[in-house]
Formats: sequence, structure tokens, C-alpha cells
Amino acid sequence: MIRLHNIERSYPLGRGQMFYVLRDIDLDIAAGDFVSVMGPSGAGKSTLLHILGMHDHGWTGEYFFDETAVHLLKAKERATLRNEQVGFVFQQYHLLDDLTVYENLDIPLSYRHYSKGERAALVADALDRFQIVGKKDLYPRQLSGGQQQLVGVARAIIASPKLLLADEPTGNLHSSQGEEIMELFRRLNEEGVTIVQVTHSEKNASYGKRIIQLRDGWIV
Amino acid sequence: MMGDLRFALRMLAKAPGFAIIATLTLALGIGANSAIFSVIDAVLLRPLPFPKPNELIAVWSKVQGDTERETGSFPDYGDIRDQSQTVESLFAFTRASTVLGTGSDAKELFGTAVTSDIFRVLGIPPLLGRTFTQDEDRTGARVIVLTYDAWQHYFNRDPSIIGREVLCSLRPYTVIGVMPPGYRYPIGPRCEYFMPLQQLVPDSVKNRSSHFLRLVGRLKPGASVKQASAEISAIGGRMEKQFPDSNTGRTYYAISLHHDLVGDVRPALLTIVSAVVLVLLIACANVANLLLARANQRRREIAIRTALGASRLRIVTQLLIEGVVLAILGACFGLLLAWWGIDLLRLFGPRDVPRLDDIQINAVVIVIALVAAVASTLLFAVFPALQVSRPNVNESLQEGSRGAVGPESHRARSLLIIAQVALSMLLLAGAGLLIKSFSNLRATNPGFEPSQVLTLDLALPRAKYADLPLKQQEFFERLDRRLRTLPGVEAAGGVTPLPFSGNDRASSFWIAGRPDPGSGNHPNASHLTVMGDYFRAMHIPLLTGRAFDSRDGREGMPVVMVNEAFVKKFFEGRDALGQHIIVDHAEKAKDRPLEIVGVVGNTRHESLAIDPIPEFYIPFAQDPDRRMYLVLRTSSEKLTGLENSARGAIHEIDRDIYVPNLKPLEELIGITLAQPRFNMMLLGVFAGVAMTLAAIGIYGVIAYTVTQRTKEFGIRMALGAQRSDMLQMILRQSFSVVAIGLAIGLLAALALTRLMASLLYGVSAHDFSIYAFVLFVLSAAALVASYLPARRAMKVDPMVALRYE
Repeated sequence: MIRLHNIERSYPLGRGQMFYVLRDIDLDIAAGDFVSVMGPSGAGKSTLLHILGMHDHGWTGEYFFDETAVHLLKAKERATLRNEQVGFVFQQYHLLDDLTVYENLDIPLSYRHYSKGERAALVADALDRFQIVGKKDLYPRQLSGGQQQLVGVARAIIASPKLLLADEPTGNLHSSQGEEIMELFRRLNEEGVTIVQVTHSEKNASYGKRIIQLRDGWIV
Repeated sequence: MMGDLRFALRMLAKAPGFAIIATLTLALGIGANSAIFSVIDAVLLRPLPFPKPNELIAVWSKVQGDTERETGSFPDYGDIRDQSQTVESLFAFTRASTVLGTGSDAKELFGTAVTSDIFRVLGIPPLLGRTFTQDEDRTGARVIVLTYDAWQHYFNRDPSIIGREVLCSLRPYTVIGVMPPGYRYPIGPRCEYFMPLQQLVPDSVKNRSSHFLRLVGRLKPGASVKQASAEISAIGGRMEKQFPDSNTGRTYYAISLHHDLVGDVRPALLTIVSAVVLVLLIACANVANLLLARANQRRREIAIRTALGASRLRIVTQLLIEGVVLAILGACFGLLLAWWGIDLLRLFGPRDVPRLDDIQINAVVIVIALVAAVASTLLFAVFPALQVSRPNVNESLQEGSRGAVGPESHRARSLLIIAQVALSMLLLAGAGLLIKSFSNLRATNPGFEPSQVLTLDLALPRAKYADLPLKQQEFFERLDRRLRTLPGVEAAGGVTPLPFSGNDRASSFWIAGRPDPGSGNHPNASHLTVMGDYFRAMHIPLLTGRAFDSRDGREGMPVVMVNEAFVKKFFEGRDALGQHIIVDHAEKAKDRPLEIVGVVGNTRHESLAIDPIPEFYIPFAQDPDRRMYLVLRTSSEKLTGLENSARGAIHEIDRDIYVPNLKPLEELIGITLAQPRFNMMLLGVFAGVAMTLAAIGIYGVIAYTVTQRTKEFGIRMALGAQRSDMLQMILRQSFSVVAIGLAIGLLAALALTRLMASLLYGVSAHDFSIYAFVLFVLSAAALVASYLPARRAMKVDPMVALRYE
């Protein structure tokens, strides 16, 4: 589903020197895969995730998503592709503070041209599926960390993406809540969602089918 | 306290952008208020510059069915003065001018022809010499009292001026006194001398039908204006019965002199004051917004202070001291702006605003400016101070906290924007109405074509021409023949009084062949004397009949021309040609029927805002006068040398005649537009400032919001929002607030602009097009002010916003 070839990401340091965050990345991810990206801080894990998620445009190399050459797409076309195919889960949850759980789930749909009726149905499904119907009118600050991340995951998959990207999804949770989220990931993967997660935890990585180690921008 | 002050100064120095914007915003508001307050102080509030000014009254007559504030006759003045028990003394005056000296050194002076009582009524002794006595008044002595300015300007403050003879319009006058600095009457216009009234107009003062005098008096101690007015009205009633020929329908009344002087400009000034207060409120709202934003940025600092034991009072005090420092800075710069503004007001202010030259920044204005600055800033600084002085220490101290902004802060900002937009809407609607009103005035057809017409106000010296109608006629007819041959002159004529010259003359008449209603009931119409090709020179159309020509000489059949309004009012629009009118003269012998030989189009006389009134024109040869306004239609806008040629032509006939400068007729019309233009300019400037401040306010709030919500925008973009979604969201949120402000402002404007109705001409206070335009302009300003910072939201990089790695 994803093929990266010779991907490099760098930042200028001045006097013509460059600082490389990612070097010569070649990576294939098949549909239905569950990949854990590991490595020390500063290794380039999140950068790789944001390149896969098409948030970062400052890289070089070739990136094919299914048969689409992402590296040849314009920014707007990439955004459209991302909206259709990718969902994100963040370590900090990044729910919008002033919106209720229901409204937070509705946001991604509002950016994807669903009708009002379809949106309501999809949100209702998600609330039901993640068993958070009782929390739909609460604000994020009224939820525990685990509940917030649950909403974060629900929000990430509500528009049925093919690819779910997760950046340290359990980093802010205590272990039992972390396990719940990882179990949820496993179930989603079994349902056919391709998952790429960044994690420091060997245990969380073990939920995946394979591990990619990054060090100083290189896949090792 | 000193520590807080030092800290406040340090904090302002650390944020120079904030300090400069807040200071300038306050300075604009305070400056505009101080400048306008100094006008109000000089014009409306400061007492008249005479002892016991509350005792001074103006006495006017009122004619049934006519306007108020009509002048009175000299015999009526004498009766009121002699019979009143509540008025201690009363003087009568009229504006006058004279020519000082002869030949090339001659200068035109403007002054007051007045009865000697003026010096008792106004109660200020002369600086040098004496004032004239009642005897000199009665006998018509040729004496003159100079104002201080005239003494300084024309006589270089010569201490030996008293007793000296000076030539005024070719007659010798003895200078008997010089008044102290600042003494002048009337207060508004140029006033350089006082002369006894009776010797200037010996005939008119005997005629009870000749209403040309203004009366001013001083009440007896203990008497009120109301009592005096009632008594004067009773005296007027007795005169009406006693002298029905001249006084039928005419009553007299008194009002306070201060009210008389400022009554006309009061509505305009109060409108402008309201506008300027609104500008200050908008400026304060902006400063409050800035303080709110700044206070939110400092939540962490305040949390640390609180954690270290600072009380809430201490924190509020510290924030308020910063506000006070800003206020004082704003007031200082504001006063500087006001100082410049006052120069502009003096320069562009209309001449008919009394005491405009007395406007100054005095101690009262400075104190008011400081109090207004400190009070308004404190008022607007209290809210942000109270809001941030109770921080959630735990939350605010969390590492990386950007200072969480609670919903109450958003609400406060939205309310401030709503207030700013509403106030701006109100001001812009007012300014829009005045602009349309002024444009209507400008577009009003005066009934003649003023471009390329030059006028010359020529008064033949009394010493050589008074009571010599043949000599007057000979002079002007020779001059008329000479002027029409000057190069570049297409048509020449003369008229008195000239439209828009500030002079008018009305005479009573009756229509021959109809029953005489009695001279007291004769109707009035504007009475003009014309010479030469006046109608052609002015492009006043002849509608029926003929214009005056060589048949209408002194010995010819007495004739008259009338305007359309005259035919409409007195002949119900039917053909008036061949009808006769009999104009009332002082001497019955002159009351001959005049045949109407022509009808001309209507012209406006006093102001473009006043509809044409019935007028009749008499040929100069049959109604000669010592004074004529010469009218020259020229072939181009600027004719070089025409002034010298005209002067030469006049001096060819009589070398002793003082020739003032030629004035374009358009300039005379322009003078009557000065007041509405001034109102429009001031309100326009204030509305512009208000809109700019409101736009800056909206910009500031949206920019601050964008900064605060960067993370949210990043999340939204990570979740699939397009840049255009971000833009739309911000503009929608901004406009939902702006729309509330516009709606409130619209309602307020609809309710309050009715109060401006007296300042409007040809436009309703609820004119749809103005409101639509103002809504559009303000919305456009709000759109730009929102769009600029909203673009930043479009450029948010989700990776940066979410702070990865």
C-alpha cells in the first residue's frame, strides 16, 4: 500500500550545511500491516509519521500510496488524499477543548463533505462502537486521559481511513489504559485498518506485526 | 507604590509596540476630545467677556407668520428703552463699514454703528480717552471710538491718538477713545470701531417701518429674562395698537444674550461633542482589548506572584498603575494633538461661530483631558486586571503553558468589538448623512450661474453722494457703460443687495386694483434694485415679458420685474404681466404704482438651504442707491488684469472712491457653506478615526485569537481541514460578532440621527442608501481587518502547531 524510496528530510543549518532528520529511507508497508516504529528521541520517528501522513512536504524522494505518486502531487491533492485515506492519533490526544465529545468526533467528517444525516449516523456509530455514548455531551477536560485517547482514536477512524497513524498513542496513559488502547488497535488492524505507530514501548510494539528501528535518521 | 510604578515603566519599555499603540490610540481619543472641549469651553461654556454677563439680554422682534429674531426700528427701540422697568439700559446697533484715509493708503474698516448706551450696557471703561455721550449720540457728532486691535494695527498704538482727526469715508472724525484688548461687539465678526448710529443713518432712525437694528440690554438687578421678555412683549403690544401702519403683527421679546449668541451653533456643537465622546469610547475599548491580551500573556507571571504570596489587591493595583501610566502618556500626546487640532479648527472653522478665535488649551481643558484619560483608562483597565488577578496557579505554571484563555475573556473581547462596531456604525451613519446633506446643498441650483462671475461691493462715500440720487445714478451708469467694454467682460450689471452677500432687504407693498388691507397688513417681499445687464450677467432666465432697458429711465413709466415665487404667491401662478404693485416708501409721494413688465426665474438669496422667496426688482434709475454690487460675467475663470482695469475705470470717474477687491460669486456662496462643510468635515474625520480604531480593534482581537488558537488550527488541519476551511471559520466567527455590532449600531443610528435633523438638507435622517453604504463600508473594513490575521491561520503548519520533535 505504501512504498517509500530514498526519502530524505533535512533542515538548513546555515553556511550551506544541512541537518538530516531522515536519510535514504526505503520502506514498503502492505495493506493490513501493523508496523511499530521505534528508536531513541531525535531518531526521526515522528518525522517519518508526518511524511506518511502527508503533513510534511519538505522531503525528497519517492512516495507511492497505493498506485498514487504522492511526491508528484500538489499540496491540495495531497490534502485530499490524506483526508480520504489517513487517520491520526496523537500522544497529547489533541481534542479541541471547547467542543464536546460528539462535536470532536464530528470535526473530521465536517471537512469531508458528508451530509448532515450521514455525519450524525457515523458519529452515533462511533459513540456506540467505542462505548462512549454516555460521554457525548462532555468536554475533554471532563474525561480521564484514557477516555480522551479513546475519543482520539474514534475520531481518527470515524471517516474510515485505510491507514491509521499513531504517535506515541499511550505515552500519556497509565499502563491499564495503554493496554486498552493497544487492544483497540489490534482489533482495528484485524478489521483491516493498516496501522503505523511510533512508540518507545517494547510491549506496545509487540502488538504490531513488525518493528522498524530508526537511529539518527537511518533505518537500522 | 514607587516599586509598582518603576515596574510598570519597565514593563512598558519591554513591550514598546504595545505601549506605542496604546498611547497613540488614547492620544487620538483624548486629543479629539480636548480640541472639541476647548471649542465648547470657548463658545458655549465660558461666560461673555463683560461684567455680570447673566444680566445681558438680546431683544428681538417677531413678525406674525414670519421667522423669529427680526430686527427692530429705532423708534421702537426708543420706546422699549424708555418704558421698560426691568431693563436698566438698552443699546441699538447695526454693522457698518468705513474707509479710513484716501487714495492708495485707504483701508476698509468694519465696525458698529451704535447708540451710546453700549458702553453702559457692556460696562467696560475705555483704555484711553472716553466713549461718546448721549448728547453726541443725539446731535450726530462725528466721533469715533477705536478697538484695541484697530489702534494697534492702523495707528501703531500711538498714545497721542486721542483728539486726532481721521478721515472716514471722506469725512473728518475725531478719535475720542480706545477700548481695552478683547473688547468688541458684536463678538463674532471683525469689529474695529464704534460710531454714533444717528449721524450715519439720520433718515432711517426716524422711520418706525425701517427695521434694521439689533438691540442688546442689561437687566436691572433682580430682574429675570422672563420678566423682561414679558414686559417688552407688553410694550410691543401697546406699540402695535399705537402704530398699526408699521407694527401690525410685530411683537418684541427678550432672550439671554449668551443663548442668543450660541443658540444657532449649539445643535452642531453638541452633535460633534457626541461624536468625539464616541471616538474616545472606541479608543478606550481598543486599549481595553490590548490590556486584556497583555494580561492574558502575563498569566504565568501573575501566577508566580500569587504563588509567592501577592494579594489580589496588590496585583490589581500593579496592573492599574500600568493603566494610569498609559493614560498619562496618552493625555500628554493627546493634548499635543489637540494643540495642532485647534490651529486647524481656527483655520477651517466657519466665521459665524462666535468666539472661534478665543479657543485655546487652558488649565480647564488640561485638567479635563487628564481626568478623562485616567478615568477612562482605569475604567477599562479594571476589568482585565480583575480577570487575570485570580489565576489557577497550577494550570498557569505548567511548563509550556501559553496561558489558557477562559471563555469569559473571549466574551469580554467580543463585547468590546460589538461596542466598537456599534459606535462606529452610529458615527459613520451621522457622517454619511452630513456628507449627503452637504452634497445636496452643493448641488442645489441657486437660480443663477455663479461660475465666472466676479462681484465688487462698491459704496459711494456719504460725504460726496449722500442724498444725491442723480449723482449716484450718473456715477453708476457711467461706470456700467465703461465696465462692459473691459476686455474679457461678457456682461456687466449691478444689484443691491447681492445674493449671498449677507445682506437682504424686504419692503412691504400692496397690489393695485385690490382692496388695500391697511399698511400694517401689507405683505413683504424681497426688494432688489438692479442695473445694466444684471440678469444676463447672472444667467437668470427671463420667463415672460421683458427685461429692463433704456425705456425704464428716471422719467420713464415706473416698472418692476418679479420672480416666479412672487407670481405664485401673490397671483396664484396666473399671468402677472401688466399688473401693478405699490411699494411702501417712507415718503408717501414715492408710492406710485409700478407695472410688472417681466417675470424672471427664482434665485436663492441668503443660503442654498433656504427656498427662493418672492422677490421684486426695480430698475436702478428709478430707485438709485449709494451702494451697488457690481456683477461682471467674464470669459474665463481667471482674468489677469481685470481687477486693475475695473479699479482704473472707477477712478477715471472719481478718484476718491475706495475700491475693494473683486470677489468671485462662487466664493460668496462658499462662505454660506462653511458651517455645513465644517460639521461634515469634523464628523467625517471622527467617523474615519472611529472606523480605523474599530478595524484595528478587530484586527487585534483576531490576530490574538489566531495566536492563541494555533494549536487548535494545527489539530483541525491534521484532521483534514483545508486552508480555506480555516479562513472561512475565522471570518465566520469574526462576522458573527461584527454583525451583532452592526445591528445594534443600526438601531442606535436610526434612533439617534433624528436629533441631527436640523443639520440636514434634502436628506432624511433615515436615508436608506446612507445606511446601506455605511453597512457596506464597515463590513468591508471588518472583513479586511479579519482577513489579514486570518491569513496567518491558513499558514499554520500542523507539524509545528502540534510541536513534534
